[in-house]
Amino acid sequence: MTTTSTSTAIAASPTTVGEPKALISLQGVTKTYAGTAAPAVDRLDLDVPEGEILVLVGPSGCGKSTTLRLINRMIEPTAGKIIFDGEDVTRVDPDLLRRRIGYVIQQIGLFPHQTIAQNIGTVPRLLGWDKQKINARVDELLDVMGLPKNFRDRYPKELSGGQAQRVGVARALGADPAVLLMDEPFGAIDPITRDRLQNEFLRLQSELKKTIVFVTHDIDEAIKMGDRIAILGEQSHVAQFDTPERILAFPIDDFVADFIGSGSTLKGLNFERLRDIDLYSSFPVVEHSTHVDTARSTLEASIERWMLVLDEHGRPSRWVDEKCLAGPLQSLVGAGVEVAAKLPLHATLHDALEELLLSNAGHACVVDSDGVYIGIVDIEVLADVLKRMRSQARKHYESLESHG
Amino acid sequence: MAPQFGMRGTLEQVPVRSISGGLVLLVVGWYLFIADTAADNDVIGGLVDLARGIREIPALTLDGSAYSSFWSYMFDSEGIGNILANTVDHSQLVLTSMFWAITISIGLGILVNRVRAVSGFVVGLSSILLTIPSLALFSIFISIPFVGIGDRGPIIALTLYSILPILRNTVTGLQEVDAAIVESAKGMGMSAFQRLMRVELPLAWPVVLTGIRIATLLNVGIAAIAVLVGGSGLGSYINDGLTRYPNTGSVERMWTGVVWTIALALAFDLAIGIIRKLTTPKGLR
Repeated sequence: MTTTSTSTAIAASPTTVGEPKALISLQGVTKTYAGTAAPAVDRLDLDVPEGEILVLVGPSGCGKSTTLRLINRMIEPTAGKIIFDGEDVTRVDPDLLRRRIGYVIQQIGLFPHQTIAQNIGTVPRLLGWDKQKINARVDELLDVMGLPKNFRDRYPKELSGGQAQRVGVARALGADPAVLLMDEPFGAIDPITRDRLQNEFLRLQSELKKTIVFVTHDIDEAIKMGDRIAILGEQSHVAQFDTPERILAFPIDDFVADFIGSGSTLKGLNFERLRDIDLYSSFPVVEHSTHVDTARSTLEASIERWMLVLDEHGRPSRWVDEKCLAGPLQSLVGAGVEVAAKLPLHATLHDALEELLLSNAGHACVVDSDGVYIGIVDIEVLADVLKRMRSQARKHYESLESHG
Repeated sequence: MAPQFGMRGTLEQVPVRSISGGLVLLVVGWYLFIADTAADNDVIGGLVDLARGIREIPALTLDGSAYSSFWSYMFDSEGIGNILANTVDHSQLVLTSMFWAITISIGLGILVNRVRAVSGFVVGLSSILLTIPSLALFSIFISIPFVGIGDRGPIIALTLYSILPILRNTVTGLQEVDAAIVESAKGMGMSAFQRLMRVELPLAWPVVLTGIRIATLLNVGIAAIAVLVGGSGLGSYINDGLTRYPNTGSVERMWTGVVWTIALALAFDLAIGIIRKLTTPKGLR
């Protein structure tokens, strides 16, 4: 649960601001392999926004890896243009282009005959940096990736899968490129380590603000990692290109809906936080010093079956219902059921849903950083938010259609 | 552990132990052979003589008079200086032909490794070279101008023989380099030449060196035949002994050639073992 909330904190933040400029543009890029009639990638137009993670996701064989490899010209396009930072790089020396673009692959491909330091210093060496500068950069990157300094002189075979992929990322960042291409970088790593690497990487990205193109076949990884997602169909046709929130709220066609699969509503709950929504504020609440009779009449006046009792600092303490109040009760202190869980404002709606499913009252209370009561979330609050998200996404696409 | 010459596999490293084991067997065999002829098919007498021979007791030659033992024969009659001179000649044949074989094979291996069909053809061709009887290959060059009698023909023949193991291991070694490693090298902007020098060759090197090791051992043995076409080296002892058989000392003379050839092969093997230790990157060990 904690991992989801840390990841969404970063993933959700930049999407609300306006459209950033494209650092890389593919314009009508086509790749046809010799001996095949149908192109593997067909007239693809794709803008990669600066400083964001763009995830290319799609079923196997849709050409997402090919698309990625067209950007650094590991695969030469048959037609079309590649624009990198305003410059047409379709015909420049591919080796020089690649030194400006970090590249991480699933198999990592560390050089087994070189130390970790030599591996990380590969591109700086190619660029002719002096030794001191390379050494300093290696130390910096080991630190950034959370690897101990004494890894410098180790060899790749001495590393675990997770450590090796950290070194792989460090090596790609070697000469501090503006762009990073990542081809299923966490695909061959066990689920627990993968989750940790994803979170670490998102935290790193929140500082580095690199322009990243990230390929995966896993829609959950795409939702977690992407500032924007391009869902690719056959021949790399872009089926939908948008923020994960909007794709989840409004899959544009059946292909996208099928691909994101069931549970997209639940996944969408990860992108909204309690601080951004309207809470249920007219829920019956009383101080614990309130007379039992007053409490009874307050509950009777409301449509709810339960009410919340606050302690002397205004913090939620007990849930009480009619049955609790019916008996010969002297005071509200210690009556009813203890409030088990309190949600902070930065919790996601997903966290809230989990809490209110566990609570016996069907409600979850939201508190501020001092633990003081702010409001209540119930299933209707969540339903309202989902309705709003869906209608906003629909309006967004309607306005796009009317403009273009 | 015999070297394997299958089309796809790498040539296994021949351990020093099996060679020294062979050496011991040969020496024991020699004692048995001498003991047998001396004692006129008397097995027990032969064993007694064998025991005497090991303790370096006299009476081991055919007429039982000339030398106290094989070792004293070898050093007294042939003279250690003479033996060493022949060993140096032999080594020169081996080293010169190995130099050319290594240069040609690695160069060719790099050139053909990219295209499977071509590399298959070239490796096949070099396999055919190895099937030509060595005496025939040595003799062919006598009739060729500028080669003729002497060391040149043998050097060419030995080079041709050594190409197969090195070439095959170069091709295999390069093709076995993990594709992901080459992909990441390319993706970081290494040129084809940089990839070859900094990644592919260093990673293929242990396999290439194994090929060199096997070629060297083959080479030391085959070089002994060079003497038949006017070459120099330890083969001269074997040839002389064979020509003069069964005169006094002829068998000892042959064995001098055999023992020193094996010793030379062992020395080369050891040297390559040390080179391997020194040149294999730590991360690959």
